[in-house]
Amino acid sequence: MTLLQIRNLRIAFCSSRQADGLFLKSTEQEVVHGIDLSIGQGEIVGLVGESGSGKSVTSLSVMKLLHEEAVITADEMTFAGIPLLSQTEEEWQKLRGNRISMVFQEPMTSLNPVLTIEKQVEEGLLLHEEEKYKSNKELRRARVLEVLAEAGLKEPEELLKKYPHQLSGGMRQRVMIAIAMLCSPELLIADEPTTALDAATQEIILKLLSYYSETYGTSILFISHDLSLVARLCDRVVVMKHGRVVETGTREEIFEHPQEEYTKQLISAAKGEQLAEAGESRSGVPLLELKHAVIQYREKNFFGKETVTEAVDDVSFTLHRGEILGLVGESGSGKSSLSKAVTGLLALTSGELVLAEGIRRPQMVFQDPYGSLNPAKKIGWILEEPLKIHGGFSKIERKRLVREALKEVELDEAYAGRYVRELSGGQRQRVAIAAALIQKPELVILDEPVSALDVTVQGQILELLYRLKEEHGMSYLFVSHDMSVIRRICDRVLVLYQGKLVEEGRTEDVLEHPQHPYTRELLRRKEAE
Amino acid sequence: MKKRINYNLIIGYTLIFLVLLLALVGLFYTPYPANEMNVLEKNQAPSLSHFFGTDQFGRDIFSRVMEGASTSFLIAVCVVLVGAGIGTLAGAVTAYFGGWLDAVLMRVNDVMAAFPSVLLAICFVAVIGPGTYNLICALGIVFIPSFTRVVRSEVLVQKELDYVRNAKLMGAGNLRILVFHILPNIRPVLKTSLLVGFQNAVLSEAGMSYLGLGVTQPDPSLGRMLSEAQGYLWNAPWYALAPGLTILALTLGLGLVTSDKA
Amino acid sequence: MKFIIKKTGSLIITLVIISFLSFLAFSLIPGDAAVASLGMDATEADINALREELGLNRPVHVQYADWLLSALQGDFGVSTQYHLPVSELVVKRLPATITLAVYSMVIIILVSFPAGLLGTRKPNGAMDTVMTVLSQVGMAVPQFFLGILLTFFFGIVLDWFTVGGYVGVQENPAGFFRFLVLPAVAVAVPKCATMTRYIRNAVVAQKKQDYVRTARGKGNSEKRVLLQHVLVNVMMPVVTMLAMMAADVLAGSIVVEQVFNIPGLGRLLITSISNRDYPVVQAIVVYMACAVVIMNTLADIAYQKLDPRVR
Repeated sequence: MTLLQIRNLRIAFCSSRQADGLFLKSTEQEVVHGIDLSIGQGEIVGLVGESGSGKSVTSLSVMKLLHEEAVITADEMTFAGIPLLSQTEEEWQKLRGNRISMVFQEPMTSLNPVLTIEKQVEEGLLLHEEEKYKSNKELRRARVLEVLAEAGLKEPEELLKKYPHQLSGGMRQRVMIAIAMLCSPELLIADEPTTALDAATQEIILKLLSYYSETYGTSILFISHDLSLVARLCDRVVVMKHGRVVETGTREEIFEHPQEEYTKQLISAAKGEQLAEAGESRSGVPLLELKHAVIQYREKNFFGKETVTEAVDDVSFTLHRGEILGLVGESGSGKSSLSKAVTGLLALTSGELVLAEGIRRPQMVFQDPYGSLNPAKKIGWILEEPLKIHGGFSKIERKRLVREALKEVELDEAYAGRYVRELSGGQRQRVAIAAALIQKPELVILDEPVSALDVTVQGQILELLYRLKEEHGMSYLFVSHDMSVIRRICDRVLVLYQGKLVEEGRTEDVLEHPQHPYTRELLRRKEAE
Repeated sequence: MKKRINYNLIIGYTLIFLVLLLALVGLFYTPYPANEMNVLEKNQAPSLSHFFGTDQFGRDIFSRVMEGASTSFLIAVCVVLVGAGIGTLAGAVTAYFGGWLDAVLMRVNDVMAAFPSVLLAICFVAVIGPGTYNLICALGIVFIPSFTRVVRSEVLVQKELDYVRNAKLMGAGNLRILVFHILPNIRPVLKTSLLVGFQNAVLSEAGMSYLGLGVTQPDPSLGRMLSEAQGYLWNAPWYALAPGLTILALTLGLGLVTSDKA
Repeated sequence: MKFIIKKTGSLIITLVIISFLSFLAFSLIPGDAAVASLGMDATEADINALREELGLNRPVHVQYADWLLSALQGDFGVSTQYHLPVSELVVKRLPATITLAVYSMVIIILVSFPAGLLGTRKPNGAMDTVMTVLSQVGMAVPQFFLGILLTFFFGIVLDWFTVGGYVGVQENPAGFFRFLVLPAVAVAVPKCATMTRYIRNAVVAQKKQDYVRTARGKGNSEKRVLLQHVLVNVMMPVVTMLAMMAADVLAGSIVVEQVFNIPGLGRLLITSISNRDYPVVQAIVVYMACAVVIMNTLADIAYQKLDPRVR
């Protein structure tokens, strides 16, 4: 039996009024262009798409949680036979949290920061359940403890008086799930519930969701950009792109026999095919040598007492000319400190950094292309700046070099006249690469250069980086936490764990035969997906 | 795409423009010399020859409002220039370089912020005496901390962003980074706080002159005129209304323009 | 607890700096207390004798320590104008100023909360626009001009009270409290407007937060979302803002006391400045600054208690 039936759903937003000279301007934009979606009783449906595909908006519209400027129309939108669009606000309130509930991406901000966990969990009982809970605090508490325990939280009594900030990310998401499951809803909508969590916690949350589905027959709409997660959890998959449904099918149909080009792209991007034939053709001429590097952060408190945090502890490695060297580790492993030290942004506390003679200053491409380009300046100005600083170019020459650099990263020269905010994430990252390239560096440090991008864009940027490296004979230090990205592009790989270098070797060797338990752990999580 | 007239901005700019016009013309021309007394025409009601009537000495109120408006404008502009100039410099430099200079300046700022701004201005005037230039100094100094705070917190955010790191990698110097990279990015915030500061400066100047701690006799000042007018509220309410409404028009105009930016 | 001790520590340091600066400022003025009390015609010898007597020939820091010690015991010296102990003068003026300030704070709290929430149901809707315009006018009007307008309407046009008819609290308590209502309104209106706007913006900003979406998703009504979820989050910055407003209210009362002819601290301050009665000025400045700093510290501590994240 179908629980949720949606036909030809359209969602449009009226942007908030913005100043435009002496006028206020508002634009209406349709973001979902007539999609169909159905969820059966007890079914887990995956809604997949990259950012801007309209998947989150769609899921929010099922609970009418979009802000008031949104205009929702549909030929049919029924939940258990109830026509959703004609409901009054009071009727919606009886449905929300009771028969349909939702888990969001960011558990920290999704919980009220100043209310205790108990207050936030028990609220649903006060709103929806029968009278017995309203007057009886003991009864409420018993139920709250029950759902917290069911969500896999150990010692739930301890949590009652705590606040969200005192919990870890994984615990917060479990609390969110407990809140959602409190009134045993028929439909649970999970909007990227694991994206903000580390790989190990992702695993647990997925298991929890399938547990609820099996035990209570809860239908789940699982929204994600990550195909590997969807493949493990969902019975049926809906692929969305730019507000339209591209392909719908069972898990087997989508993953074994994808029909549409876009679906194929997504799947191959998730698998991560190799770009380089690893490590055979490299020169062996050292370009950069790091010897026994130590980086410490010292902080003096009010009384002059010093606390020392060791970010990098006795790390040595050599980067050869023409090589792409991967640097893997999770946040806090010291990889950011190390990459800053290599560019000279951060001084080594002890140890030695030796660059090959006559080498130009290494450049860097940062993770977040929104922050790494000056938002107040035009692209042309940004690209020209290093040429101005170092001098020796006439104005005409500078313009020509800017045009060339844009061409190198496959952008039209008209982009020189635009601001960063007018560009998409992938285009920004191309500009950031051009800005590094224009200084003709031998070595570029790429600090998570594709982590902020959608998978299909990731692939394009990686290919671009690889092509540029081959054409200009550059070398990269490629910093990432993502094993599949490393596999695609790196010749050799270093694994950093708590500031120490735990493993080093050719990418294939390390990925196929990891020696250190931490590397195995990293890979196991990736394999599991 | 829907377009609607932004009434806040239009009314705001109109009000500012009207007062500015009054002030600008007042610099070069007034219907009567502002300080000319005329015993024959004391306390007259508004008429064609005296738009806003005359005061207790027979001086033309309209002319005095015009000159008073230009005084208010000039003082407010100077105050904001002093406050914003020193404040921005101090905020940007201390935030960017940090260290002991930052610590010391922030302490000074905290102490200054502990005084209500009017009280602090009163203290300064009590020490250095009243008068137009002293008032500019006093208010200018009082206004420094608010600008320092805004600029400092903005620069602290901006300097941690990757585009600043990127500029460093390109080999840009500190001065270049501050002027070409960071300042353009805090311009919107700075613009808003300039407008807010200007509104506060107009209000403070009027308040100080009202208390007799600002512009000295016999020069006209809107605040001063209000305090004189208070004695004649019974027979000449227009005397108080003329300068009062002029101040209100200016501050309201500034408020409307600012609220649109925020 | 540790936090309170730390805050009290920095409070004391700030107070010492404030008192030192205000002492230093007034000891730099040409023409010291000796000149001021003897007048311009006094001979050099007389002045020097008085300086010796008053201890004005000693180094500044010694004078300061001396002054601070007596100030801590409530002795701020003698007024050169009235020839009375400063503390006696100040204490006599306190009731009017304190009542005025408390009145204003009460008005601000009572008005700005409902007014601030009015427009938040539908941001940029008709109600919100009306409230925005009203608060813009409120913020723009100078307190003394508002005082004059109120005097004109209620005192002259409607004749509800006698202009300048202040009565002391001892003579006629009812009249005292009634008279101070209008001045309090004059002090409060611009601050009400600022506060209304602040609360409005805070609520609108909070309503965009993820946790509000969660609260709605649980099936809360809009009213319950506002009262149970949004307000608790808005309260903390608002409390801080209110404490900062205490400083503005105090400053506003200086001006408004002048308008309504109320013999409070503010009026004493202004007359003392024009009479160059510096011991009085010094005492009032220190008093007011202390009041403000203590209020701010209390707000910090309250914030600490209210917000679980910094507890």
